[in-house]
Amino acid sequence: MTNLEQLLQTPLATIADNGFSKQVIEKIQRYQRIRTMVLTSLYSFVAMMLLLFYPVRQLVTQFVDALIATSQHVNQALFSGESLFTTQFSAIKAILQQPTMMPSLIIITIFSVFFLLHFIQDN
Amino acid sequence: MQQLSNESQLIAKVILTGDQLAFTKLVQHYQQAVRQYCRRLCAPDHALADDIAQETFIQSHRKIALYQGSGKFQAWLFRIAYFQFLQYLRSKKIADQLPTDLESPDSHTEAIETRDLEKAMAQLPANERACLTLHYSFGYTHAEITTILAMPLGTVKSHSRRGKERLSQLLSVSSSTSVDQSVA
Repeated sequence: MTNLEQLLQTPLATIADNGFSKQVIEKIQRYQRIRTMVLTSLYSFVAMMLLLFYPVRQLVTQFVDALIATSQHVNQALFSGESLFTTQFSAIKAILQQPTMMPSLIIITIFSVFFLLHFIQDN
Repeated sequence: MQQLSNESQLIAKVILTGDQLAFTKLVQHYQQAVRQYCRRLCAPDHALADDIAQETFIQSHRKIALYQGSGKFQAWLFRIAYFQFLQYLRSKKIADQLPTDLESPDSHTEAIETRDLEKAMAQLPANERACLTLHYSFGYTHAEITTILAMPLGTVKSHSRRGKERLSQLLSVSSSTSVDQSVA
């Protein structure tokens, strides 16, 4: 081993913490607080827009009606002697044909995209 | 640097529950190694080194779920630190042109040889500094350095060889200068 290699292997000078770790944790906590605030504001804004411009009450009423209609449809299909596949297929078709289904699916998709983006940003 | 005995448990806690206390323990344990490494990269600017070390821990907290546990946690931190440093160089557009005439604050207490080495190190390009520091000061093999610095094995070896050559030139010049100064 050469002198230079020996010199290079000399242990590096020790560095005392002197509040460094505390500072790092504080910065992380500050970042998380800001992130939570921004995301909460964003979600609240989206929810408010939804409440303002979308007939939520009508949507809920129609959705409940659709559920009742679907359960009746399934009931009828079960007692009329149709095969299980036909029963399930017509039940799904009946659900999708309800007027409230498409807007609900769109809203669910928008929220899913939001959460997905949130997750990607986190990782 | 010794690995923490319950390191994987602490990492799992941070990933699964975002446990701040577990992450604090990791920071406290690795702060010295990361700061030493950053000081070598940013030599002789210690303030910049601490900023990069701090940013390294913040980034590691954000990306800890990506740590696969296949290598040492310290090596993963060094990788982040190196890329933080490169990002800093790119943002400042001063690749490898950091000031070299600053005096280290605690240089008077260090041995003359070590001080000369630090001064000479500061004059090397960042890649060579990183390879030499990881290999000699932290004991990583050339193969491990390829993962940390994302470089092929041949490049790592040539950086180490060239770095050593340059260092011996610089040190021989600096030692002869020191002798001249003492004679004068």
